[in-house]
Amino acid sequence: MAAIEENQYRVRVARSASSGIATEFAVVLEERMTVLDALFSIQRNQDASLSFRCACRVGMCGTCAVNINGVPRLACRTRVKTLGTQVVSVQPLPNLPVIKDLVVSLEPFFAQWKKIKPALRPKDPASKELVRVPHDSNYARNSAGKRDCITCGACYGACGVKESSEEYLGPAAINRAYLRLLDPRDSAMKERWQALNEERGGIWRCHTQMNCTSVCPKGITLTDTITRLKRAALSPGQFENR
Amino acid sequence: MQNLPVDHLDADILILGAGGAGLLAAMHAHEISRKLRIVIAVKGLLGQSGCTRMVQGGYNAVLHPDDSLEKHYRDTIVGGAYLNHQELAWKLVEEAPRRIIELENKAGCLFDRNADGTIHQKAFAGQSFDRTVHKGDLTGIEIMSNLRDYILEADIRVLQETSGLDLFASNGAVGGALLLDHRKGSLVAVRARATLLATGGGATMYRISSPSLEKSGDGMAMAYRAGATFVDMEMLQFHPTGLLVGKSMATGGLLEEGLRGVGARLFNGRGERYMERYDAVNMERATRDVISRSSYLEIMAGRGTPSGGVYVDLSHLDHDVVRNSFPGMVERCRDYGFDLVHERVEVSPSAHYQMGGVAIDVDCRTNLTCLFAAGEDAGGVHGANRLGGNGVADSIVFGGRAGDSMADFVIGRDLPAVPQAQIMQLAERWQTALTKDKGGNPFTLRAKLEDLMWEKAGVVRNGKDLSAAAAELHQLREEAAAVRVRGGPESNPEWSESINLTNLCHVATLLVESARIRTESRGAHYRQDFPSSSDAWLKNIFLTLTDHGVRVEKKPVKFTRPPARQDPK
Amino acid sequence: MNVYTGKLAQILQRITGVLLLIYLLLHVHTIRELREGPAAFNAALATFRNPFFKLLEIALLGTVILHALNGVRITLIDLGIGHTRHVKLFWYGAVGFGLLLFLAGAIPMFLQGVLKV
Repeated sequence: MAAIEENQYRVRVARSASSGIATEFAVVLEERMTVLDALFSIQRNQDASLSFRCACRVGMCGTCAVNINGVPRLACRTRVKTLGTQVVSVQPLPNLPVIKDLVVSLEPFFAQWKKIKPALRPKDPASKELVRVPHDSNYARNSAGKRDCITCGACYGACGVKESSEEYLGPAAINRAYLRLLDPRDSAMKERWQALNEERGGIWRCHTQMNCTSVCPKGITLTDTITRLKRAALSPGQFENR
Repeated sequence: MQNLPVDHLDADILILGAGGAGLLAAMHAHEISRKLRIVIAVKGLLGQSGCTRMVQGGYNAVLHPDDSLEKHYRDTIVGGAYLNHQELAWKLVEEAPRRIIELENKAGCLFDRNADGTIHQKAFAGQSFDRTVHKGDLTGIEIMSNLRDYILEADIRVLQETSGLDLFASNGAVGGALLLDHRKGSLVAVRARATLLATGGGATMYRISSPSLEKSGDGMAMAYRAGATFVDMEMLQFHPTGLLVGKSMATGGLLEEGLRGVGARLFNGRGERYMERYDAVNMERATRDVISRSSYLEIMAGRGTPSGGVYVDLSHLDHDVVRNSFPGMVERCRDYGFDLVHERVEVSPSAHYQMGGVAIDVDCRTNLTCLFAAGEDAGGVHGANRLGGNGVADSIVFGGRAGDSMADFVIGRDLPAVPQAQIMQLAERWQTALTKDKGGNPFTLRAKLEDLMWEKAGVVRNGKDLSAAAAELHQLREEAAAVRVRGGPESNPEWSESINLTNLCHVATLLVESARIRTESRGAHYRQDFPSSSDAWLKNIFLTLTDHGVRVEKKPVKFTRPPARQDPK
Repeated sequence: MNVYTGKLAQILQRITGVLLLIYLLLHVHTIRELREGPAAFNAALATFRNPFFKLLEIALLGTVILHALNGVRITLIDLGIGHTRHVKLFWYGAVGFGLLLFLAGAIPMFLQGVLKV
């Protein structure tokens, strides 16, 4: 068995029991280990009460999003060595109510998600045909790079507008609405546009900070989606030709 | 003595688990009647936990005119080493195509298309036709996020971060289940006219495993304790290419089969393409059981890589094709500092999926009245080995069938009577760990279980080790029941782990018992002391927990639909 | 440049916007002096020749450059340019170009107006 390089780190984790003030743990990690590994190491060997969420641990479920050194990221996809710091600070995702330690309530996120009617509203639910979507179709071209959202909440946590606005939909919900608007099988354009154009919560609240785009672990250019919708809102009939 | 609050809930249908099977069941039942009170309990976050979410490769379905149900069926039976329940296997291939249409046109999924807009189907191991439907190399996310949105808008009641502790079983029937809300630390007693087990299996009992971390075979364990009948529990699939990342939790996560489909090569520590010695005809495109065993034998013979695995190598393939076909995997490898495109990467067999499970009929009924099972919880569909791409198809097909079946079943049926005494007795059993002053540590015992299973009931087995495993498991079960958990009931990871531990021990017990009984090698079950298959063993092993211990029955496989012979080439 | 640079840009845009509004009001107020004839106007302008106001003018230059370039950047983004490939280019280009413009104006203004060279 080859020797694996190990390094020591100081991991500061926000704890509910001390009203968010961090507890510091000394952790020894293998060189390829992630922040999630650090959290498990603390839980298993030092403090079994440390609460955090995770499921798949390979970046597919979006469950482990937390604030790492001030930036919302997936804990399982953040290799500690790449952070370049000896001290790693882990806090819960911002803009969401904290339940315990690093666990936040995603209810506000999904409340906004539901506002844009995320499910397909099929024109023909009983259709036995699979829709044809050629590579040069509107859908294929416009949806490229936008379909990988894992609802991790990182964009929601990074958004400067979400800091002060409860009503703002947030980038993820807007992106989802965009995909449904593009979908040739969908029939609920009016309801979605209503939510997107809404004064207090719609796309117009976006101030193009682009924090969302910077933090999305799937590389979705969320601000781009929002600006596309803003342009589309100004010239009606944009999505009719699907 | 703790006295946790117990909420009471009544439902027409209680669905334990929210992967592909659970959510399809909910969707189907809901479509049949919006008036049905459906309650879904999911251990993690809705649509984001479990293994359907983690599906990379895809979903096998006969959609192309040149393909046929007979071909898919034959592939499934041959892949299952003829141990499959033939009616279940037929239902799988027969209904897989219509569910693709449902997933797209009703649930909103959109799978990858060819340039001309028709659905793209890729090549997967063990298939006679390229029939694997997919979205990039992250198909599960597409399926689960759309199903999740369907459930959100259908306004079906979902209890998140809530798992089942025990079924309310009496007189051969099940009246619902006692659940634990892990976040709040409170209990929920759900009375239901029908209950579905869809929690997934317990492959996480092994040192190196692929599933989502919260999975621990809860549904199977509850069914075991309630007296359900299990089939072929020794059949557990090891996926050949689980990533090796030292002691990181990332270890065991899969590099999908599609890699081998496009031509990836496997090398041992000496740089030899060892599949030549095990299956020179199929090489790296042999089925998972063959490859895992070959890799394992190489590693055991001392020809493994520095981390104790083998190498998967794509460097000889077109780099752009690899990057475009497997963007998710390439990126993930890069996260840990590996270069999947240009360099060879260390992988190992990784415990992945249980072909065995609760015995069901084509309508997902178990031997206990009112109890249904679908997906990985159920056994028999895949026989001794599952083909890649048939797993998610199984969940979606049988989840839907379970939904239809339960919606019909509950018509005119009364809510069962569940005595308060039964509820309190079960509640007490699970709370004792919180009240102890001393006892074992669940994390340590879990590691012990994982090592035991990997070494004595893993890829390569033998009678002596299996007997030793059975004895050690007996010991571990007692230690698991005596663990001590610190802290209160709310958001208590140690308590959650102690429950996982007990459930895994119970599932492991069934696995080891069944493995001891089958004195032959077939599919995923390989015994050094009985290395070949025997026609005398074309039998399924049924295990049922009774008051007098585990009852064993061996019944010959019923060839109700013998697969067509191979077309002459 | 980090994840929150865009947020800083928005805050600065707001602040400079308000400052420019105040400047505009001041400017209009001063121009009104034209109504009182050339002597009064020249007297009003004389106040602005003192070094303190020259420094304020330099600050005004910076404020205008910042607000204008950031405005151009945001307009381009609203049109769909600069979301992927050119993000870093936009930032450093805008900052670099802005700095150049600022120095091109600020240095002579400082030398002539403040140091009276």
